[in-house]
Amino acid sequence: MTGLLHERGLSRKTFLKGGGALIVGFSLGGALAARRAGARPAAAAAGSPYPVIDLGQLDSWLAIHPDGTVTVFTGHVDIGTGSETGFIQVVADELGVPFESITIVMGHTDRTPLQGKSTASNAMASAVQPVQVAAANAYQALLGMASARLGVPVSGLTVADGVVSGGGKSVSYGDLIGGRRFNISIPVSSPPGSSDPLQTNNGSTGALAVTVPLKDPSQYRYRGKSIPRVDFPAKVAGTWTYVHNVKVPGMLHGRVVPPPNVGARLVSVDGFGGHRVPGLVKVVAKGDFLGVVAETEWAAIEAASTLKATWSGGGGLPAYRDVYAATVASRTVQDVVERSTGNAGAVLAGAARTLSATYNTPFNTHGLIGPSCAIADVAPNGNVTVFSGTQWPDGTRSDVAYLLGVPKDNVRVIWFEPSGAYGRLGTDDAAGDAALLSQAVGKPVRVQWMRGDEHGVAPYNSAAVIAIRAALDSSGRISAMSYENWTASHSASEVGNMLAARSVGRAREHPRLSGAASVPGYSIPNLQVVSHYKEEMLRGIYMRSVGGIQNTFARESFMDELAHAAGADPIDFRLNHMTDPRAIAVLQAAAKRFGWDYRTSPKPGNAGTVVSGRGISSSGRMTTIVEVSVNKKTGSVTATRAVAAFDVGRVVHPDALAAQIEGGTIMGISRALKEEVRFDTSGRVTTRDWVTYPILRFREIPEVETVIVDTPNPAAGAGEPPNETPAGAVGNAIYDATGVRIRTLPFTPSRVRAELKAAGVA
Amino acid sequence: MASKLKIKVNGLVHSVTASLDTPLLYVLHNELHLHGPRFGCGLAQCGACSVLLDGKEIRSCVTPVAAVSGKAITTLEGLPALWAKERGTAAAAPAALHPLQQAWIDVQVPQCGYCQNGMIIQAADLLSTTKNPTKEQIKVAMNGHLCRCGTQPRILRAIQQAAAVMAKGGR
Repeated sequence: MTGLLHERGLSRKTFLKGGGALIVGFSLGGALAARRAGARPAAAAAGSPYPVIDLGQLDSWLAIHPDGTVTVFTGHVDIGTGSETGFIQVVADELGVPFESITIVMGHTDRTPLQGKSTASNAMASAVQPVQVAAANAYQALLGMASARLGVPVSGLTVADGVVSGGGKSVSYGDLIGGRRFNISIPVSSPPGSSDPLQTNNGSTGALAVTVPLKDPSQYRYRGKSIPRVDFPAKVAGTWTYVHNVKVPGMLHGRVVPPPNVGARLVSVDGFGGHRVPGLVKVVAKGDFLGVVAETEWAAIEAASTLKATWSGGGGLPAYRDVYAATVASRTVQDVVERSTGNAGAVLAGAARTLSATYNTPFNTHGLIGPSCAIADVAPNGNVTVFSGTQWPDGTRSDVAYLLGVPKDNVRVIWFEPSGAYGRLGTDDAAGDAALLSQAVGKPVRVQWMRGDEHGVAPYNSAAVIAIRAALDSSGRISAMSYENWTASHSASEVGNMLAARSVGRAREHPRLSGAASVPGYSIPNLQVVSHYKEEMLRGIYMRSVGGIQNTFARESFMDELAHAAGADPIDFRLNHMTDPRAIAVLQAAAKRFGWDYRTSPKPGNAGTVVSGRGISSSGRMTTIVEVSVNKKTGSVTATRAVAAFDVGRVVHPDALAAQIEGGTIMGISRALKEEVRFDTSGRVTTRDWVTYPILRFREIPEVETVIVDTPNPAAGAGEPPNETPAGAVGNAIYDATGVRIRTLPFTPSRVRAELKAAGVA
Repeated sequence: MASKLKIKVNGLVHSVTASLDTPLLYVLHNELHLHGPRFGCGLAQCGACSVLLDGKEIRSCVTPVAAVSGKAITTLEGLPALWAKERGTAAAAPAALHPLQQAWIDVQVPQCGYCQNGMIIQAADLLSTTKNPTKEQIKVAMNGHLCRCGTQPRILRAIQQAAAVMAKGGR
């Protein structure tokens, strides 16, 4: 493992200097990279100091060194989910080399091929494809070389651990190609999504044409196995380099003073009120952007917290209790008919039996344990280097270039792992802050957001209001459904909308709309699904499952309400409306593991103060069943057990998948029970720390049992679905326990108590 | 005003320059370049910054550096040597990892790993006083540490495994 870490260190261009300090020597990066990678293509655009990596060249994706070790280059990044390990598994199988011989360089815009965003759980679903295809091309090329070298036809060759054998002779990959280029072109079958801020980005990670055979699953040595993750030894030893740990020579420390409330304008900067701030380098005010630069981190923190400034305006938010009414009433940006099948309106109008309900879900924050952090170096020659943990290096590159008003060709982003980000995507606010501050002082500046910044001004998952109406026919089946979702777009901050960009008037209109209604997967003959995209209230950005948690909570709560109306067991009722055999198998697997007692809700005989119940929620090929305990007197809800079943297709790494299911389930329960961003009428977010925005704690974590339904289908994404389903299951379990339906998240003790009281149950 | 201070970290005395009110975390991270303790909140709410002070878990983000003089600080990086000392192994050949760190790998605990420093440090504190903790004791001890990735069930298993290993005096 030591060797691997050494390789990793080299590939990330780090070296030790004075007293063991980790210094990132980016001035040496190019030479070091070239030595590691052999003579990789290094064509820079005219006038650009940084190479453009040709997607259609095998050498852009991987290099084999004389000692047989392999470096893989990918624009995809690993935000803590283990995709780095997964990529290595895939390449090791495709290339026929030991897992341990491979290291990966991720997300360096001047060294790795563009692969769009690392988002939507796309690592194994699509981002690995070009890497796999490049490895398959390399494998075929190496077979050809070995055949010529050994004088044995390819059909007579075998490969083991990077050594080709045949006719009693053998030759290693290192001897065949080590340190040299393959010079093989591979057609690009689909380009990665654009990072041009003015273009809609479809999220594509890009793909290469498959013109050579890929390994058959029967030949996999590593795929499908739970190989220990490559990042863990360093992570538990304290030697892993997060973006927070990156230091560059001459680096100063910056902190921001964000607007106190949404939309506030900076009127004046009023000094430190007599407070001395030793080590202060500069106060930087530009438009509504305000920040400080200091020699030490603590001096920067003290300066930012004691700096006085006058702000005006802003606010304009509704009283928080009116957040949902205001969401529906606000200006419509666009209405989108997502699905119109049959004639839902007419059937509903003529139906003998209809049911309707409205569900509300609040703003949520990603809650990174390590706040946003970036280091920017705006050099005197106009070249810009940004160290960032962004989920979209090329998007952050575009954003910083536009923010600073420099050509994108002169900017590069070097990615280091951040704290888990759960969908913050390219909205790396700290990168924008660091860039502005570095530009102002002419030196590299590191900015790390404080907890109040992270909770108080980061972009959020937007609140939603979802109204559903359905008709039941005489057999208890859904004959028609109308489904409407009012929410601000979840992609509003995706491009060019870093807080710094807004503060200096360099934010841009972003045309992409996302996160509103999703089409129910149940078989419903007359179905109308409409998204109402509303004006932004708080800056929005995707959060794990985007609109999934809101829609799934509403739809799955309503399915239970319909089941109750139809006098059916919640699982039977769902099965009666499902056609996808894989989704059915998952639902049944969850029910079996849980030991589901088929009956109608609520649970009979729940008369005591503390009562229990169970609820189910299903979304596609993901099913979650949660058991809760409800204290009717206090309104306190505890999740006591969760079963999560998932068919993600062919599994690359069972244990990493199980970890995603466990973690997604726990976060989903946390969002169901606790999480809510609140604000006051001045437009100030009031949930600015872990006390005011609590998440699930150790003592509140239930047992999570995962059921992986492994099927030989293409791998789908695993990070989001487990997070979608828990809220609906918790709400249904509360109903099962108490007979009271609560349609607004989160299920805090005060809300549950009030609802139980209103229903006469408490 | 910056002062010259001596602090004892992971068995060695270091001379550092910092104002007396500087939280220990920034001295460890920026002066000693230790990356185990990490900034999470600066409010002693999450535990990402935890270190051991004379064997007890503290939050380095709110502990002024002046308050630790004369005391022994152990960070995540110093746990292997601490374990070697507890076992009486020669300091020259400490185990590569503390049993807790090894258990974290065996159980494949982390996801992003950012909070795990505090989790391991708190667990080391727990196991120093409670050799064979129950699940409930572990949950109570760990309750002040936040993880957003949802690794708590695995942390529970890893602590139980490490406790068993340590009870036998080694790996």
